[in-house]
Amino acid sequence: MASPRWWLTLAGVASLSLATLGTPVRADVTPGDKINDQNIDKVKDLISPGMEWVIKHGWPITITETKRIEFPQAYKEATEKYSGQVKLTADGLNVLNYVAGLPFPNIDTKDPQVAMKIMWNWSYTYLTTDDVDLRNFDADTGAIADHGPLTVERHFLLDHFRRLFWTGRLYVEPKPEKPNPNGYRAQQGLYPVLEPFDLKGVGALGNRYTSSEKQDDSWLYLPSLRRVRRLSTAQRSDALFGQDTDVDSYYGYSGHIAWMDFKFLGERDLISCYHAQHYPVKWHDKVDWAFDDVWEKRKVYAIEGISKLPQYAYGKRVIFVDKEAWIIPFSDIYDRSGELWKIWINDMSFRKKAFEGANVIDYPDEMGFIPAIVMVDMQLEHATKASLPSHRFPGEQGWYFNQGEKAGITDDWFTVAALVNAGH
Amino acid sequence: MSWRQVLLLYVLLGLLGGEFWLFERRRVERPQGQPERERFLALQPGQLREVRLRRGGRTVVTRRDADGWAVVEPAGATIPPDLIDAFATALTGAEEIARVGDAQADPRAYGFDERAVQVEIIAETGEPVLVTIGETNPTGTAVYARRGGNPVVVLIGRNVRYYEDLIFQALPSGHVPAADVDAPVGG
Repeated sequence: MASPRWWLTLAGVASLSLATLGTPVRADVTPGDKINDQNIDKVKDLISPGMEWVIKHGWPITITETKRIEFPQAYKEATEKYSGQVKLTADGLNVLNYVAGLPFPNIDTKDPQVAMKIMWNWSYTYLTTDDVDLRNFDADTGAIADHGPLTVERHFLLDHFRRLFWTGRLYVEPKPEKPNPNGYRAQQGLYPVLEPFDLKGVGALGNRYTSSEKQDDSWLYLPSLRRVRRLSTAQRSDALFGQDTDVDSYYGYSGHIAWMDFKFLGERDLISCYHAQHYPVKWHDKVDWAFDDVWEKRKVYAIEGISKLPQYAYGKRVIFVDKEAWIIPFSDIYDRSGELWKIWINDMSFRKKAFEGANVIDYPDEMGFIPAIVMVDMQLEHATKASLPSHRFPGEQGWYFNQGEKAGITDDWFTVAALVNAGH
Repeated sequence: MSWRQVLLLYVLLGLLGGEFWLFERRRVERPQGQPERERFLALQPGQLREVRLRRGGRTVVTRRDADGWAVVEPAGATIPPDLIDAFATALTGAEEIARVGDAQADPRAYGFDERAVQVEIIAETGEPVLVTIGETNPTGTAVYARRGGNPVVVLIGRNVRYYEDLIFQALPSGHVPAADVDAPVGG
């Protein structure tokens, strides 16, 4: 006959087993893990459907240690100095009293405006506070094979992508705001296209205003037609130049915060590529539309964004915003049926200089270099990958942060006249 | 031109204006390449009162109150109300991408077995609506689904499955968190 203690032990084990049965243990990773389609279950709770799709089609993932990402010192000081005075309007569409830094450092997930505050924080990210010049980068677009390469349909070479911020400036005089009668938040240009030859001289230009009541100005210059075409705000979601990418998807999301309805979907852990070891990018040997680098586990906010514009190409975006770094590792895009359509993936590398070498800019803080981006159209099995900078320019730093006129960032460059001149 | 002709032109102009105001103005054009499809459910998100999800022995019951969606079961679970709202909106807004099977279809082939999720939707009026959501399709962009009492298997968007995943992931479990990166001001 068993003793009462034996029965108690048995009952305890049984209770524990029942409790465990109802609580599935989640997938997890450790540094050094290599993830592929065979062991994707290890990351099933740490990825999105878009990432699941690319991994199942051959994208290799190597897990590394999670590293802290510090704000640049000037941004950190500005956040501490000014964030206390920042207010969000009741409709969430305008940020009041903003000077510089992160507008809403203390996020309360029970705040009814939490989704808008997270997205405004992303909008005022330190990735670029004053200006940025991305030079000599290229992109390939084409069909992708399952566990195989990209068949290049078009190869693009571009001279410049530049952004100039008029508010929230921290490094280049005048700061924190340029004399700003037009009310700009930022100006942006992507021009000229150098290759392919039939698109030589093509370019895009845009202005964004601080006031959410004003729509973006967007222009496209087509030298073959000798015409400057004005784009509507909704057309910012249209794929440009025959690529899979659209202007609103740059960086993971570049649309105006006020023109989407955002919902807070929760907090979660996610893998992200923030400390890429390769600069310029290293593309995988076999699956050459995938950058071959290290990923780390991060905490993120998940946000749903649905455009208020009826002509917007996408049904919704699911955007992940890093809780510490306030940047986007990748974002999924769905069509109007809710079918998975595209993913934008950032290859990021926080570092003080692009690489070791003479005359390479040494920044006082780690900056968010982005050696590559990939946008995949899952429905068409088609992708665009961009090397930022291109391997064709050895010694090219690619990204130049907050250099002002030294990097050719002048007000004149962001005019339609300059866009047209560069296209001739 | 006689005054009768002028009057006729004004009448025609008025009719055209009326047609534009009543019909054309409200017509939302779909982006190119996306054909009009039938809705999966004949419900509007605002009509929903309760949503119940059952998956792998776990149940989530949420109810809409004056402040939005609240979790009834499991008690104390913290699921963002926006997430439940996004799931309900995605499911009620889902369109039939394709009809892929009928009464003769093998349920296991579409994941309508222990892997499936049972969703019960209770609207303000009418009978509860049952939906079974099965596996993702081979291309990974959509999921198989079936309405209660209707044997037709349809494909609906993958978005519904993802939000359902997020709801179950929000429940307490043996989760290993990422490194603590909660510092409010970057380092």
